[in-house]
Amino acid sequence: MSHRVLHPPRAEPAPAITVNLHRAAGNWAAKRASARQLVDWEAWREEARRVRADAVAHLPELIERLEERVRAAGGEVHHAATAEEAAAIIVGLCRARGTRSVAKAKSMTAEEIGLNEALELAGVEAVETDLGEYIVQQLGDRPSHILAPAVHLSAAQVAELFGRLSGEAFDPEDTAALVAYARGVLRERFLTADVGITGVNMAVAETGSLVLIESEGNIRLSASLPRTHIALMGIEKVVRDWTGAAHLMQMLPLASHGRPAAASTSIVTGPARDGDDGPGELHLVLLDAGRSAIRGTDLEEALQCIRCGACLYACPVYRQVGGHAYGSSYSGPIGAVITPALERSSPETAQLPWMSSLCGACAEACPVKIPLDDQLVTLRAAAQARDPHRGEAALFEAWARLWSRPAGYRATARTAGKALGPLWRKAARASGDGWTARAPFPFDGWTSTRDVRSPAGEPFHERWSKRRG
Amino acid sequence: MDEASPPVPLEGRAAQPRPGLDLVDEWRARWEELDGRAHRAESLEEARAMAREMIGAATVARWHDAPLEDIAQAQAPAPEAEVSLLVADVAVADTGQVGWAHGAGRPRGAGVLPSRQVILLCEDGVVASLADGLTRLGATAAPPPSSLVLIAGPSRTADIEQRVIRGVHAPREIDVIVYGGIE
Amino acid sequence: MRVQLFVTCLVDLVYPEVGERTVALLERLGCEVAFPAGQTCCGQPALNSGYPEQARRVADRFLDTFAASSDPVVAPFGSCVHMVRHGYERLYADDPGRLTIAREIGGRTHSLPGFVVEVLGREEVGGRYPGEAGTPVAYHHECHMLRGLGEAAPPLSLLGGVRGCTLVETERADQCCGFGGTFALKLAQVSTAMADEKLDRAIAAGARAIVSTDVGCLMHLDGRARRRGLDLKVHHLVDLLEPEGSL
Repeated sequence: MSHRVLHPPRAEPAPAITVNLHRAAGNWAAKRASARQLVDWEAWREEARRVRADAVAHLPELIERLEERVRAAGGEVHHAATAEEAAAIIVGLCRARGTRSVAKAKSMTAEEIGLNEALELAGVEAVETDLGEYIVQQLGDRPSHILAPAVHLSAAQVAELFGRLSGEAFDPEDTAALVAYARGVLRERFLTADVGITGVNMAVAETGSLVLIESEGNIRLSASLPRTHIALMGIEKVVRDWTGAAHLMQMLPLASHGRPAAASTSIVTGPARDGDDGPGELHLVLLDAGRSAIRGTDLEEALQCIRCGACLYACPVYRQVGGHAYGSSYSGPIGAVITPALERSSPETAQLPWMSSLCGACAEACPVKIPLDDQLVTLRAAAQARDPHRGEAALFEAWARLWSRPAGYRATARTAGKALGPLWRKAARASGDGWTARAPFPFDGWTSTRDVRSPAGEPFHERWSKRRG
Repeated sequence: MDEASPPVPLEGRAAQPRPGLDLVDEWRARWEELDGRAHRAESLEEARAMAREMIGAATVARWHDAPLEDIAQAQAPAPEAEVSLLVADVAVADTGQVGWAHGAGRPRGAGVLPSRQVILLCEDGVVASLADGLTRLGATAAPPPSSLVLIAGPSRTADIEQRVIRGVHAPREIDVIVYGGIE
Repeated sequence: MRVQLFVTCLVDLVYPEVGERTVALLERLGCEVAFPAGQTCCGQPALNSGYPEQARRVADRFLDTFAASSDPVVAPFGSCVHMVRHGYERLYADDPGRLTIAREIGGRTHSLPGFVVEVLGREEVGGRYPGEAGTPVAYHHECHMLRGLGEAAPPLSLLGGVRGCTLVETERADQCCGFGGTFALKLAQVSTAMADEKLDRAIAAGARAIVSTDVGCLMHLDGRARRRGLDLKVHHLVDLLEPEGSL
C-alpha cells in the first residue's frame, strides 16, 4: 500500500484553517513581489528551468556520476526501486547499528515512503526535529504543506499541546516561549541520537555533494551530531554541476521566501574527513518509486520540481481546502500532478486532477516553469480514458457530434432556448429577468448555491440573422 | 555521452549593484536585512579586541584557528557554551551569506549549538556571487571538504501562525566582524 | 478594417446582448464586422473535462470556419482565445498540417480588449456606467485573459475611459473567482466559497458593482450575489463601453 496515498481527495472548504492559509498566502505574495524586484525574475526562471530540465533529460547518466563521486568521497549509495524498499533499507541500516533513537529532519520524501511508521514498527524511535513537523507528530496529525507543515494549526492548539507534554502552562501569544520549549526538547534529541535522517534538496553530480537547505537549523544538527547520517533523496533531485546548483540555491529561497538565501545551507560530501568531526558514515538512499517511468511522457516536467511550495501558496483551491484534503503526502497543485503521475492514476488518485479550476496561478508561480495547469488537463484525459464515467462520456460524445456541425449546434440552441426554457421555467421559481434559482440536471449542482441565467429565448446568431439577413 | 546545453549567460548578480558601495558594504546590507549584525575593523588586532569586548566573561566554545586565540576568558563545551567563536572563509555580497568549511580544529557542534555566535572574517573573503563563494570554499574541488556551511542570518521559524521567531535550533544572535588588510 | 466575430457558445446562448454590444463597439470604432455563420464552439469544455478527442472534432469546425478568411477574429473575452492559441497546440500536436492552420488563425485571434487596445491602438473608447453615477466598481481579472494571454492592462485601460464610475482597488483582484467551467459543478462547494471571497472582498473595498470579461465568471459571481441578496451588480466590460445615454 503506497504511503503516498492516504485517502481519496475530499473537496470541501475548510473554513477553520482557511484563515491560517490566507495569512500564509498573503505573506508569500508579498515576498514574491520582493523577489521580482531583486532579480530579473523571468530570466532567472528560464535558467532554473533549463538546469532542472537538463538534469531530468540526463537522469541515468547523472545519477551514475553522483553515485561514483559519493563513493569516492567515502559514502555509501543504496538504490530503492519502490517506497517499501527505501523504508526497508533505512530500517535495516538502523537495525544493523543497534539504533534506538533517530533525529529526523523534515523530508517530504520520508513522508512519501512512510518512514516514521516503518521505524516505529522496527522499534526505533524517530522524533521529528523541524518545529512544525514536531508539533504535527506530537498531535498524531499529518503535515499539510511542503514548507509549513503546521500551517493549518493555531497557536492555541500548539500551546495546549506543549502544556500537555510538559505539565506547564503556555500562553498562545508568547510564541518565543513556545519555540524555546521545543528547542530544549529537541536539542536533547540531537545530542543523543545515533542516527540522523534527512532529505536532500539537491545533489551535485559533479562532486557527489548533497545540498541541504533550511531555516531552522535542525537539518544541519541532524546531519552533524549523530554518528551516522542517512540522506534520502528522490532521484530527480540531482543536478549536473555547481553552476546550476548555485542558481537553484538562490532560486529556491527566492520562490518560497522572497530572498536569495535560506538561513542555513549545509553541503555534505561523504562522511567526515580530514579532521572534520561529523558523522563517520554517510548513506545516500536513492528513491525511484515511479519517477523514471514518467520520463519521456508529457508529465516529465513535473520532475523538475524543487519543492519550493510556491504553487501551494498561489493556489486558490488549496487555500480553501487545505493540504489534508488532497489525501496524499504531496498536496497542492504539484501534489495533484505528481501523485497520480507516480501512482499511474490509481482509482484513489484519479480525482486529484479535478481539484483545480485551471486558473494557472500555479504555473505562473513555479520557479522552474512546470506547466502544472496543462499537466492537470493531461491527467484528466488519462483518468477518463482509463476509467470512463459512462454518462459523462456519452454526453460529451453527443455534444461533439452535434457541435462539430453548425446545424447540430443550432438545433441545440433551439432546444435550449425554446423547449428547455419552458421546462426550466416549470421547474424553477423564475426571478423575472432570466435568472432562475432551480435548474434541471446536470446543472442542479450549480443552483444549490447560485442562481443561474436561463438560456436566451433568442440566441445571438438568430438576432444577427434577423437584423442582417 | 550527451553534453549539457551551454548555460544562458545571465546578468549574474542577484540585485542591481548599488553604485558607490563596495562588496563588503553590499554584503553587509543584505546580512543586516536578515537580522545579522556586522562590524568593521581596520586590522585583525582591532577585530580581536572587538570580539573580546563583545564576549566579555561569557562561556565560549571556539575553533582553533590562530586569529581566535586569547579572546575568550571562559571556555565550555559546545552544548553548554553561551557563545561560539568562529572564523568564516567567505561572505557573499549577492546573497548576504557567510560561509566556512569544517575540518581539523573546527568542530561542527561549536558551529551551531550556542545561541550566540561571533565570527571573524577577513575582507579578502568577501566575494560578489554565490558561484564565487562556492569555488572559494572548495565546493568544486575533487573532492570538496566533507562539510561546508553557508548561513544567512540567525535561524528562524514561522511555523506557529506565521509569526517569525529567531533562534530555533541554530544561533539567535550572530555578530560578524570583518577586518581589512593582510596579516 | 474587416473583422470576424467569434461570439462564443456561452455568449451566443446565454448572454447574447454581450455579443450585440461587442459588434456595436467594433462598428463604432470603424470596423466592418462579419459573423461567419458556421461557427459553434472552441471545444474547451471537452478538453478541460478530459475528452480531447471530442474537443478536437469541435475545434476542427472552428478552424474550418475561420480559415476561410484571413481577417482578424475577435471574441468578447479571453478564455476561448487562450484555447485557440494554447489548447490547440495540444489538440493538433500530431497533425502538422492542421497545427499550422491553428497557429495561423491563433495569431490573428484576439480578445475584445486586446484587439481594441493593441491592434486598433485605442487606449480608451469612452463609455458611461449604465447605472447610478459615481458607482464604485471592482474589476475582476479573467484568469485566461490575465495569465493565459498576458493581458492585464487592456481591460483596465478601457475601463479607465468610462465615465460615471470609479475603480476601487480590491485585494487579490487577480485571483480566480471559482468558475473554472465544469469545476463549478464538480467542486460546487469550493467553487462557491471562492465566489464568496471575491464578492466579499469587492464589498469590503466599497464596490457596488463588479466588472469582468468572461461570461462564465459573470454568471458565477452574479448568480451567487443574487442568491445571497447582495447589493452588487455584475457587468461585462462591454456594457460600460456604450456611448453616452444609448444603453
